[in-house]
Amino acid sequence: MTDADRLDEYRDYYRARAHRYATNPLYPATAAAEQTLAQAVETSASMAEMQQRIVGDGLSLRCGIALAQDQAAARAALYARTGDDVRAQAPAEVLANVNAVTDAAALASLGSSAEQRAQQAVTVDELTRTWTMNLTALENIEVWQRARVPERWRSTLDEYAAEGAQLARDAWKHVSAEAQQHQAGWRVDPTVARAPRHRRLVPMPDQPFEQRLAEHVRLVDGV
Amino acid sequence: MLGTFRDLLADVQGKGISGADVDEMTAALAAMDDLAASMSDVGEFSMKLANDGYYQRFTDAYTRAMLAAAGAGPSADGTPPQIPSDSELLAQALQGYEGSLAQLRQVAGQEHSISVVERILAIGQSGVTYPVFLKHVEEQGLNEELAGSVTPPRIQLESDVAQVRSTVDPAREAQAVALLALRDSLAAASPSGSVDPFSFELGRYEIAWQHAPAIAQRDAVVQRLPRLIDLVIDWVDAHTSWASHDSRFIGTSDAETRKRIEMARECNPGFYEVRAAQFAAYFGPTPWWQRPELGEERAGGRILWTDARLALAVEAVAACRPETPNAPAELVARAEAFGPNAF
Repeated sequence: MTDADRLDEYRDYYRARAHRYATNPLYPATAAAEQTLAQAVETSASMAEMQQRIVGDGLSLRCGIALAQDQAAARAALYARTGDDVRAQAPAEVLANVNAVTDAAALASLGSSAEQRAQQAVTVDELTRTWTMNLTALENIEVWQRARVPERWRSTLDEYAAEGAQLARDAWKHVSAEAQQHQAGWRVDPTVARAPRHRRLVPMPDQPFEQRLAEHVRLVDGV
Repeated sequence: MLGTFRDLLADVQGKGISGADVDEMTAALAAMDDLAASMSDVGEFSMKLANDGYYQRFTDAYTRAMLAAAGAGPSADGTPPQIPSDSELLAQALQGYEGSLAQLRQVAGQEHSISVVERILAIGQSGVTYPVFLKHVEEQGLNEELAGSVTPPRIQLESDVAQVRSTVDPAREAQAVALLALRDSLAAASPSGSVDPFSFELGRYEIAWQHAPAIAQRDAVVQRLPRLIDLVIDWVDAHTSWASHDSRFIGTSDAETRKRIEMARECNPGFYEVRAAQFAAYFGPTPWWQRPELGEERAGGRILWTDARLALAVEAVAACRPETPNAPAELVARAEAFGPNAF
């Protein structure tokens, strides 16, 4: 195969790549970078020139950077729509640093390390909703303590309530110990529990929500 | 647990790649080995590896080593990149896909991914050059197809819809239907008909986010429905002549059985009053027997009480009051007909 034929085949390939990104509105920067790359290959006079322009001039890397930018921008927009401040940390970190990247390895590392850091933060954040595991216990305790029953049952039900509270406290110690492996000194922060990303998943109005959250804090603190 | 890292290091060394990046991989693996020797809890070890950057250190060095070997960037020790020939690049690519195929064949449920890799290999082995191979893979959207773990095949999403529909769970069914529609819309918008994995990943996240409150709401309702129903039914049944023969009340002794029956008769109205108030505080004034979830749970076979039993329970609600703990005789007479240990 002649150098010219080989070059023609690469031109076809880079045109196909550029076409794919041009048809997807999620990738504006990538589409532009791929178009620039395809154009550079189109106007290269030899394989050596093509290789120099793709690698030596950094056009391939520019495509990688553009893809990272587009993906991070799309994630940032998604997390802004969903109000997920913690998950938004990873794309924000990528967008802040991606233009300073000078090689493919650093680009790969930027994405993965940003994702890893954010994932740790997400894991800790998700632990916030573990307090709702105590809802059943709190409701049971309320039933045993508040039910209007003949007096002869009162001491039995008080025992049930005390046992239920102790069981819930014991179970919570395990949850707390597990959580502290992710973050030393972890405990449920009621302010974070009220953040929309958590609050929307606890299906009850504000009054009972606040009541149960306060009861949970009292229960696990042994008050 | 560190087997994958050992395999990656052996693979790199087996390809004759060396230098500072491979030294870094070796050092990172040795540090993981040292950590393993100092810890006894596997879960804690795994978490420490992830959280303290051990994985990152190894995979960053691995990425640099492989990119340098492929000519895409300088190695850590500054060796300039070398561009392999087309035939070398094609051979490297096919070797990678063959390795993936061998691994996929060892895992159940990977038929779709296997068929895609086989198609890619068939193109690569058809005598085409490397750029023609890349172009065909690109135009046929095979790399997107291969991202099967991110983008499930349509048939799987259809199956998910059918499965969740069979369980009579409208909240999850709506989510499954939306996922199928997402896949269809992305495929329709794609020139190759394949689905961009990143677009699907974002769409799936947003769909899960949109449907999560409705799923949480439904789960919360259906978790509490049986307690309300059972309190009323148990209360009426505790007044029947067969109560002491029913497994709900039978204890380890006659005294225990009597205590359970008496407790259900005397306490269930008070328990029900508090539970009904909790239910109303969470989910509003619609009584439990008018909630759509009740019919869904019965249709799904998760609430087994018969129509007659439920009708009696609904009628009994008005009488199930702490002030008047004895069930009306007319209701008890109807409950007598059900007999013990029956729905």
